[in-house]
Amino acid sequence: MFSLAKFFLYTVGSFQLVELMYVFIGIIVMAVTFIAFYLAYRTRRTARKKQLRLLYSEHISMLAICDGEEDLQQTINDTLSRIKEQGLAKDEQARGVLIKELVTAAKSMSGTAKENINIFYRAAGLDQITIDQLKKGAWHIKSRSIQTLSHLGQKQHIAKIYRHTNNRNELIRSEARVAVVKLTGFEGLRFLDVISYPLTEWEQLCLVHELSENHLPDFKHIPDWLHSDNDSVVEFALRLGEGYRIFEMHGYVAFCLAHRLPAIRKKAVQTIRAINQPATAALLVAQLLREEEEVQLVVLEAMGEAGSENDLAVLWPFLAHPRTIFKIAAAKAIRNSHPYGMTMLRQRVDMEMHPWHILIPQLEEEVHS
Amino acid sequence: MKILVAEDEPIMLKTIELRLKKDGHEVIVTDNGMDAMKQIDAELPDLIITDIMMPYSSGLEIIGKVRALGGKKIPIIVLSAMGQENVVLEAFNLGADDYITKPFSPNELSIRVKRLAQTA
Repeated sequence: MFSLAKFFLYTVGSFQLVELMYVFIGIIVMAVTFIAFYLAYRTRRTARKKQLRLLYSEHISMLAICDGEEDLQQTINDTLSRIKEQGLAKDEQARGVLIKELVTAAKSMSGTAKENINIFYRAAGLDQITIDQLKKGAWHIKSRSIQTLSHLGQKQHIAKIYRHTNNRNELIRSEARVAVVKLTGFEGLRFLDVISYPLTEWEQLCLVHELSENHLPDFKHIPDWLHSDNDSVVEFALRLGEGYRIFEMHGYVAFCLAHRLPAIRKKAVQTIRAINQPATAALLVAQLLREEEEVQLVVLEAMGEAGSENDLAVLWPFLAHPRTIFKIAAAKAIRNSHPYGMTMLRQRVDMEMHPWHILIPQLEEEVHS
Repeated sequence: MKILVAEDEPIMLKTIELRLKKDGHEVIVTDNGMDAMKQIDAELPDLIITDIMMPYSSGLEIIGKVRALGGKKIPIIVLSAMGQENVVLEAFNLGADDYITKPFSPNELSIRVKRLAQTA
């Protein structure tokens, strides 16, 4: 410390050192003042936000419990005029809080209450503000706008959301894809015809979840999606086939067993297992013989459910596979494929050897339970 | 009927309060579990509607404490979010009488309250 001061004394001189200290003190005072002002501003803003939330929760609750069109219209008019009187109609922060509160309410309510909230959002012209944000905002504002429109059931703006389903920004397109399905169900999936960007695993799960929410199934486009150039669309179509057990898709799924990507072939095997038909067993045997190890395991597991007595010849060699997981899958397939599968299995393997001394009792236990 | 509503989401709390008042009930509201326990002791409500996830003291703790008090059996309706099936089972084990999953319709809650009021 002492040598540092000495260094300054020799290099800048005593007069300059005092000046430098003043400069530093000035900077510190300015920084502290700025922080104090900023904190005061933040506190005021947060307090106002809290106040607005309370005010709006009252208004929104009144709207939510309205019974009948007349009652609702009257409450909407009263709410809008009160907002105008309080000078909040053109206040940007107040509008933002109102939209946020409407979304929160719409997420927690269903039935007439939710419908009333959606009607108010439109009647207050807030949908137009959200649309403007969707047009001009940064990526995070755009994705939030899409979320708002979908939570508040604004179907009339579906075209504006739809055009973002292939947006180059991953978050925007992800929100848009989920939103169109949330708003229109299976009909919204028509973006699968045109998208070039992939559907992520997360998006696929979100879409399946949204589709399960009281939307009438419509499978007529699935065969087209199974032939899509976008591999993730093929994967998603297979996921739908598996989830909804679309037996009519069997032929199209069989076609996907020859897909160039192992991930798609795996999914096709899982789907064909779910929509098991008499032709499935033969398809699985053929697949097992030509597949690479990664997919073979899934095929073996499928054969445990959809196999037939004729499969035994191709299954025996897998009992000698170097990896235990393959041995287990093959043993299960043999046990399930033939009425005497378990007996034959016991005769074929050396019960004293690992892993059979553990595995065979386990397989027998499963049969009994 | 005197009903205690414990819910930490202001909009939901207000909506439930207004809906029940519209049905002619006397409603006491609170946004946290600790205050709910105090209100139960002070007001002796005829029915309790409680959210599961709340600050300070959860809905499950409220059910447990109310049932441990003994005396007159106060019907309890639990408000839960989707995917909280295990917690709902726990609530039933502790002595809850009914549950409703969010998102829900205030009208549906009103009907459930009526039904519980009739059977209580």
